Amino acid sequence: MRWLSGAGEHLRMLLFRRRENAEMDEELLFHLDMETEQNIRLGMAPREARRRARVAFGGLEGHRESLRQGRRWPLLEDGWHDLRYGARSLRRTPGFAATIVLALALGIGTSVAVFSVVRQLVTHAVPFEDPEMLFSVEIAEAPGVGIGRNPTGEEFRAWRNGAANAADVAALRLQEAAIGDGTHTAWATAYRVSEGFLSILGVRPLLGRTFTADDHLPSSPPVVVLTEALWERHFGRDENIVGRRLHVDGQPHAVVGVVPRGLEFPSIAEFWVPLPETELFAADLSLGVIGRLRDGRTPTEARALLETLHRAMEADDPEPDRVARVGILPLPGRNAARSDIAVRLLQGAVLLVLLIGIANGAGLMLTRGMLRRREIAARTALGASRFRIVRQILAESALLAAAGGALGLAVGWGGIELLRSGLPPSMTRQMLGWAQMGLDARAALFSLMLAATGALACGLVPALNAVRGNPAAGLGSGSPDASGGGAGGRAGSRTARLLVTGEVALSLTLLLTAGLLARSLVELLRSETGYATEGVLTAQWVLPPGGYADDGIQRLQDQLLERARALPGVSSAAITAHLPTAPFGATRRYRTAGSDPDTEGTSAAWRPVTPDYLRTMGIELLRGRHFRDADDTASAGVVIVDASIADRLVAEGTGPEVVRPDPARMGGNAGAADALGTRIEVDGVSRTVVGVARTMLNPVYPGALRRTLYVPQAQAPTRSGYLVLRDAGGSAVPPPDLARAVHEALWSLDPDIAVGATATMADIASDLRGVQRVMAVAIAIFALISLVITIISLYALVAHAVATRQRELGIRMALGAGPRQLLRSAMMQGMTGVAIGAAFGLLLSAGIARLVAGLLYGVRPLDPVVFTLVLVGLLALALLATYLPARRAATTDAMISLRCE
Amino acid sequence: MARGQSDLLQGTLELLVLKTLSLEPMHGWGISQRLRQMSGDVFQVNQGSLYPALQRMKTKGWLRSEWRVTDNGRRARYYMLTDAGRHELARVRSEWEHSSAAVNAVLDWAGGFA
Repeated sequence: MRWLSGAGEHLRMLLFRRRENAEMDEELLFHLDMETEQNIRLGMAPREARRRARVAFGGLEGHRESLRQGRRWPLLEDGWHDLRYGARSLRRTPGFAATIVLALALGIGTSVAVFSVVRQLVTHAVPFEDPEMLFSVEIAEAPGVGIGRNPTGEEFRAWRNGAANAADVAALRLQEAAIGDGTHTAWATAYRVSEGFLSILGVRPLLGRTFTADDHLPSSPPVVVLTEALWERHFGRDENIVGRRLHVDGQPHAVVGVVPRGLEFPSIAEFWVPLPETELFAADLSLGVIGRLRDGRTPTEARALLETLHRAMEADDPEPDRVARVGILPLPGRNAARSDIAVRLLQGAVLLVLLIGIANGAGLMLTRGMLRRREIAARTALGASRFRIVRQILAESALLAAAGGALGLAVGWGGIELLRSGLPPSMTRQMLGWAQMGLDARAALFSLMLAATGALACGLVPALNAVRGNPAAGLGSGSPDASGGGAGGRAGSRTARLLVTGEVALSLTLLLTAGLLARSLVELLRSETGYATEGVLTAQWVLPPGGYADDGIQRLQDQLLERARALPGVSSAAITAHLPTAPFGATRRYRTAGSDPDTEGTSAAWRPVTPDYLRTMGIELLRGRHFRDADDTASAGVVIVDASIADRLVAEGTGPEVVRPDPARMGGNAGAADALGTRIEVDGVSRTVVGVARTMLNPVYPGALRRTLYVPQAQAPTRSGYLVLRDAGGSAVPPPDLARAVHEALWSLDPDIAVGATATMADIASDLRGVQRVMAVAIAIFALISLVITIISLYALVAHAVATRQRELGIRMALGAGPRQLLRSAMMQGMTGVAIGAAFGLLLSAGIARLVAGLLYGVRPLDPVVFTLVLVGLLALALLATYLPARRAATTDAMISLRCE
Repeated sequence: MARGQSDLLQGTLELLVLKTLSLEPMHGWGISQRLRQMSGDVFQVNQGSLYPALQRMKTKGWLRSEWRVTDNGRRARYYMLTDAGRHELARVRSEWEHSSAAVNAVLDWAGGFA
């Protein structure tokens, strides 16, 4: 440790060189002055005193120099020297340096971007104070069960009362609700929350206040806290909103505060209503539970405490053998579950790009190291130690890595901005913290680590390789070619070829994965939705509770449709309980009339619609007729089934629940007509099949069909649903204006009708495919980056290989070898590595393809088209990358080749 | 160099500087004056060796320095002992005593073995 003791002093001297020099001068001059003064005191004349002092002192410059010598710190100064030498030598080969820096920057940049995003979404997404202290609670009924259930009200009560010294907990419950001010009403996402919910999160209101303990007393006047988004959308940012009285599901509530944008929790919340805890303590109530750790408590402690409380509760349970585990999740962990495969796939892809970037850097440095063997041999011969030479090469790669890292940060920043603006809002809306996302400090640190790793990887291999060979051999041969290059040269080209082989394998894997995802995206976009996506506007409506009897609903719907049809640009209008894109929605079980009443029947989507629905939504009616106004309660029950149900009714078979989509079957087979007139029973009501509609895909599992039963609204009225409008073509009225007109039409019938989401089917359909689209695009970008890097590497390798063989090629040419032979010989060197790499890449991809099978649609994991196309494409590019440099070598004049060096 | 004066070996200079500074913090000129006084003008410290020695000792961690104002109002760099320096002084001093005893024994040897 002795050498370390002066390190601080050395460093100070190096860093503050100028100040150190000034102080040193001041000290020496002080000495001189003191000497002079003493001479004067001894009786000398001032001039003489000064002269004597100077003589006694000796040469000032000499002192300065010896002091500077003493201050030198060889390790650091040599390092500095190495860096400067490296920079000079890199400046002589700017193309080479730029290639490595670019490859590293692309690799590092993409990883920084993706890791920033993932970190933001998975671990750092909460915009609240001290987010690491926040958690959510889940219960896994058995160990190893991935997704747990929500806690119950009873469990929440036990924790609330028992865990207070480890953590504060609060419960929340989703409840969509109508919120309005008497002139208009919105259907919005509300959360009913227990005491302390907003304060546990640490939410500070934009206006007014959040909830107090009193607000949660059953006897207190009801209150509501709005989000800024809802306040803006429905109340025009009314500054006097606090204190205003709104109706929530028909009950008057006073607005007490507005929470600023970005602090919505859960992120889909639009307003919050306090709930008395007694109402939350019901045993069978499923609740979201969040908590904040008390200072100094760890998640482990909190979990242990909750689990103990949970066990105490289960002791009274009739099923004591059931072991439940309480899971404490970091609050934003919920983002991660949403797109787990996607996130992992992204991370994997990014790591591959990074590996390729580093391999590329190492390969190029190695190539360069071999080209510089003469220089290195000369320096060794002149007395440079191997340590010094290794250090020199490492310094160069450190420079490259630093530049790559810095540029990588910029690339990463750009990538994040691109992601932020490129993703559809429907995808990002539910992601906590998306808007606040930026370059993560840890991700930046991560990039520096990567850069350092990159430097080591890029530098160490060639550095060791450079000093392994016999310097005399390197110096002696006219050129560092294969015949005289010694062991180092051959080992070096072997390593370089190995690196290229690895790069080819990794990029092929990325390219194949990207190809599969891209192909399934194309399939998905090309697959017929079964409904019209253009020119259809939908608006959700919910009737106020009470108020409407079944015939009242019927009248209201008739009036609404009449007004809607009268709107400018509207060609047809209809009402349905759910859209075809609804992820869930009502289902009913049906069975053939007359079949055993004990059979469970088959589950199918249940869609009460008005007569024009199929026409308005563009759903093809294959057989039979549409509903008529006459199909009401007074007439016999009717139903329109989709083709898959029609087929089953005809075949009377019971196939598997999930049927793979088969385009031929989606239109129904020839027997579909026979289904007409068949009678089925739903909820004990007998209905006659009057029509067969085209089958549609399940929007949640695009690989599956969704069996659908359509029934007349008049025979099964619903209290909520969607108004569906089709424009006359040419879209005379832009959707936003039409949407406003629809809202006015609804409210003019009854201001208490709550109006919810209003969107065109085109938007809804494109949102459904958002994940696939983003994944395909992201992976495609990574794949392209890796392809570019790989091709550059390959080009450099072959170019270098032929450069070192220039003499040999020249001799062979002189001995009569034709350019064609030489070309083949030169290209073989690169393409062997490519072929081996491609073989490994194929094996690797086959494994990965199975992992991503869940994200694929309409394409098999080992799709021959994708595999062939990608393989042929990669090989073609590889051929080009080897051909160009090889041709140059093969066509060079033999004499020039021979004279070379 | 005048007769009666003597050059100092490097190790000796360091020992003397440590001893001088163990009395009180001092600037470079003061150290050279004090050394001359203490040695009865025998030791003429050359500035060319004093300042590099101070720097070396600072790097070794035996001394630290700070800028102070002298009695007559000039700014000067004062040197003072660190704990490591005090330790070093004790160590070198005992070493010196050992070796000077040994040298004296050699010089006093009158020949022959007992």
